[in-house]
Amino acid sequence: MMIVTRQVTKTFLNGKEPFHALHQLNIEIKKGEFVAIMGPSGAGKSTLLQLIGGLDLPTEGEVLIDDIAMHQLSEKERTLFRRRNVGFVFQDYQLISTLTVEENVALPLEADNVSRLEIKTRVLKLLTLMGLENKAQELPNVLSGGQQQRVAIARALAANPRFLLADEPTGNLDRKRGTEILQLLTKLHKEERHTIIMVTHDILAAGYADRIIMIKDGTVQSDTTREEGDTDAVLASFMAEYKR
Amino acid sequence: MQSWRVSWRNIKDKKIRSVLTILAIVIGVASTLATISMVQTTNKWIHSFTVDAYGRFDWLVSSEEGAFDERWVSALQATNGVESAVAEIMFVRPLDRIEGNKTEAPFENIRFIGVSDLASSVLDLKVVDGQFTSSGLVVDQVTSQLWGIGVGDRIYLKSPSPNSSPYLEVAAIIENTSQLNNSRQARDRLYPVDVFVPLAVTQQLSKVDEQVHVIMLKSDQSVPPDQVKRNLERAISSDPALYVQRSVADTQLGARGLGELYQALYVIGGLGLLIGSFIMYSTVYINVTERRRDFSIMKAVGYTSLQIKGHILREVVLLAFIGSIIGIGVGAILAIQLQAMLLNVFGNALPYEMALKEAVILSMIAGILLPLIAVWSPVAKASETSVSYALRRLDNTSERPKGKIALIVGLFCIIGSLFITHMISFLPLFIGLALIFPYLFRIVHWLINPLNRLLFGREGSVASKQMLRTSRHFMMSSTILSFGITMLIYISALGSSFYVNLEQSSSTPVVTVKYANAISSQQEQELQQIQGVRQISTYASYFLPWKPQHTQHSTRLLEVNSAEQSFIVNQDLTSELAKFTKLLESPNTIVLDAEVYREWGGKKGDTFKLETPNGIKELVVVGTVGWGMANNNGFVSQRTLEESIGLPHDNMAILETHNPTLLKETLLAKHDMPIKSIETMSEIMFLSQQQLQKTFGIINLVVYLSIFIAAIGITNTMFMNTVEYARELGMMRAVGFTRWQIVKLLLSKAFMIGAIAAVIGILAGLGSMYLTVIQGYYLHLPLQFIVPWKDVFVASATGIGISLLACLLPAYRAVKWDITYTMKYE
Repeated sequence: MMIVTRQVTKTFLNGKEPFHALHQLNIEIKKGEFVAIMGPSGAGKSTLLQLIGGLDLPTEGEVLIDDIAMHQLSEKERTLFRRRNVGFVFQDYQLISTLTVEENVALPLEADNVSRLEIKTRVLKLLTLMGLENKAQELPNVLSGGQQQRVAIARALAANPRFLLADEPTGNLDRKRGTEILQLLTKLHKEERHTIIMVTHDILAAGYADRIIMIKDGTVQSDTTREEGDTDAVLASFMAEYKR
Repeated sequence: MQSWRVSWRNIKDKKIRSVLTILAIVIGVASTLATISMVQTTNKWIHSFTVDAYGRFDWLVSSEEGAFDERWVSALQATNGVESAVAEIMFVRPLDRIEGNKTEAPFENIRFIGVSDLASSVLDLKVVDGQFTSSGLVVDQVTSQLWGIGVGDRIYLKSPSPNSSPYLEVAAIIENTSQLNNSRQARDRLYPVDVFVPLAVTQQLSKVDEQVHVIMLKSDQSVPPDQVKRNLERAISSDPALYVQRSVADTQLGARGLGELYQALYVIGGLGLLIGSFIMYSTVYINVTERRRDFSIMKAVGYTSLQIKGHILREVVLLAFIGSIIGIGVGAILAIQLQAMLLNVFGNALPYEMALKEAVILSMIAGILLPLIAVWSPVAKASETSVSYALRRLDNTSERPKGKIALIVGLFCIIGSLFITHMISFLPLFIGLALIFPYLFRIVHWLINPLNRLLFGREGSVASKQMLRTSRHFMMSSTILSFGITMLIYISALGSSFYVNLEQSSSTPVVTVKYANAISSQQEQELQQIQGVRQISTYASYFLPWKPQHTQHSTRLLEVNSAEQSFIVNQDLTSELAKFTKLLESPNTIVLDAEVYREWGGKKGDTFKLETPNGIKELVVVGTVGWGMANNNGFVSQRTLEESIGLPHDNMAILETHNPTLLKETLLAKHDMPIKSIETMSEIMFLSQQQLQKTFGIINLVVYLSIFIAAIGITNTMFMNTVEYARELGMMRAVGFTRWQIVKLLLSKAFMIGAIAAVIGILAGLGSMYLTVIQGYYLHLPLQFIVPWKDVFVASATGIGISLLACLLPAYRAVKWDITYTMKYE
């Protein structure tokens, strides 16, 4: 799978003034990559993630997933695309408080009308993978933050998506639980060959990725892969920038 | 001032929610105002109508034999203590045609009321056109309009010889008056049209020279009533057939049977207010939930809990005030329209005054106070928001019915209500239902869920789970809707029961005739010889005054003759009365109908004091019977009537025939019959059915209004639900739920609210009817338990349909939300 953004601009209105969250942004992400998108607050990281996930459309330019232009899909087609291809993980977990852990994980499968038997099997498998098989019948509010985020990851994986989009997945967690989640994502990337795109401003979190894309003022400032060996330099420069 | 401005801005920012809230208050205030005003206006109208009709004179002089010599008028006029006297005679004749009318007049009967002095202050007739003459007809405005006649026009009466139709010329048109009960007759054309004529003309037409039926006397107020009565009794002492009666303006007479209507109206009004308050609660609940972060920040910068309360309450007061002002306007219009409809059922053409003042004050107070009480809990919750709230997220927890005590007490109340033989049994029934509602909700939810899943698929399944875990708001909406459906089913079942009673009665092929005279044995024989008459029975029917506690009543006294009872009314009453035949054979005994028995307040074996021609008589009450909607009757034997009461003659005849309509025409054509009124049983029942239909029509209208109010409640609940769970709906869209799937999810919730409300409402409605039947059994009302299947279907469809419709707007709004925005929503 290839994710491509071409000259993507996203403009919002700040009162009456237009504000460019992204400006003529170009990136390409290949299948199986673990990409961290970094940048200061308001850089456009989350907006980029939403455009890639089909939650929103660019004001200008295009987002292509395997040569399919998102803006050419209807609202319903985009929803179906999302359902079958994209798994979302959010900073604040976004679990449904009135559904049990099991029901939360099953949600994308319910939307897709998957058979009950298959839902049961797949949900159990995912919860076991997340170490939450004994929490299946609990409501989310009795779980710890780390456990809730693992439920959210299980839900994101439920429909066997082609790529996982994580928006600050450790933002609400303490260091220990954050590390657990990042290790889990790494494991999914390495063992299950999932494509993961993670928005973060946490240097340690970004350190788990193979590639780091730095965004500032809506444009790509740097794009570095671990193989090129200079991700640490990128992180160091980000750190310096962040401190300033 | 700044604070009020901020509150106003907040209201304006949430336009749809504010409009819905104001609408709810408008409906609550309007329905309260309309119901209070309608009940008060109707009572006032009945009171003034009765006083106008019966309070113009103080005494009545009648004869046991029906008609008596007109010379008594002048004799009684001269009695000390009498201010004025008017004699009256009444008979019915068929109309042939009206002068100038191109089309032939329909078969209409005219009741001629001949009076000795048309200009008497006793009658107080107000002339609109023309003047009273010694031979001319006097008609009221309703009749003038109906017949299209004016002063100088002629009406022709039917005559046995076609070439000699007697006619009368209209001399005067008078304002509509309670003395002529014409509106209903004019409309239904079954009862005769009432007209006034000079006494001599009536006597001539009916061939009863120098005879009158009654003399109405107005007292000189300076003379004590007892003194006047003694003077009158002394004056008529030379004729033993004559007797003096007090004229009783029984203001309860017209109000009997309206209790159910009033109750229904009050319930609807109360329901309107309740729903208005509930919506207010919901709105404020959402509002404070959304703004808790703001409140915690306000607290952090130094606001006190009281200041935060005031902040929210200002918005509530503003909304309540706006809603109440509009509600009063809408309510006044609604009251005026519904009042006109209601009085039309009673056939009123007389002017009436709307009683609005008290209703406006009460509904305004209720419109402002109740929302304030309703919002107290969420406001208190908001004011207690901790400063640290801004730093953490709101948790939603699953809800389950609390404790088993409510269940046990609720079941105890419901079971207990079955054993209480009083109308108050409804109270424990409804308290019981309210207490066990959460359990009923879950049981019915479980029963309906397979259908829900079938209709709404996986989305239905998800919605069902969510509903069970956040059942509080859904339950409130469902309760309100189910209450409306309960009313619908109850009213329908009650109506069906009355209809069945009426249908049973109307199948009797008889003509009932009220004679002005006592029926002599010779007249009875003549009647027997009329073609078509199969069997005759005669009995006595007289209105006599009696005095319960602090008021004056007038009750119809009917003679019971066991052999002839089956003609009188329906089989239920016949069989009920038959149980008392033996007891009534004892002298000075009486059986009362349920209504009189209730008003009397005594128990079997106690004495019932009646003012009779023989003075005050104490009759022993030996039993009580029900008589459907016709109330105000006492049943006595011929022996009691003759020996104790002093009314030995029969004045009513029931003629059994194959063709009642034909027999009625034949009887009217016979000029030597002093008929006061004549009706076939099917006519009486037809009119009763019509009245029943119209009365229930109005009740149904207000019941549907309550269901409409419930729909607003559901819309609000769904709005609240979508707003409260906007973030979750956004998330569901993010993980792949299409817009239609979200709509289905919300529709499924609405379906469940409607279906649960329908099932519980139908059960509660039928339960209420069952209680009424039990009450009826104890009160001897012949009610039957009938399941109105058509209305059960209509109620189910209405409940579900209205719930689904109410959900459309919130659903539309929810799917239009931007996903990325809603996911940030808190």
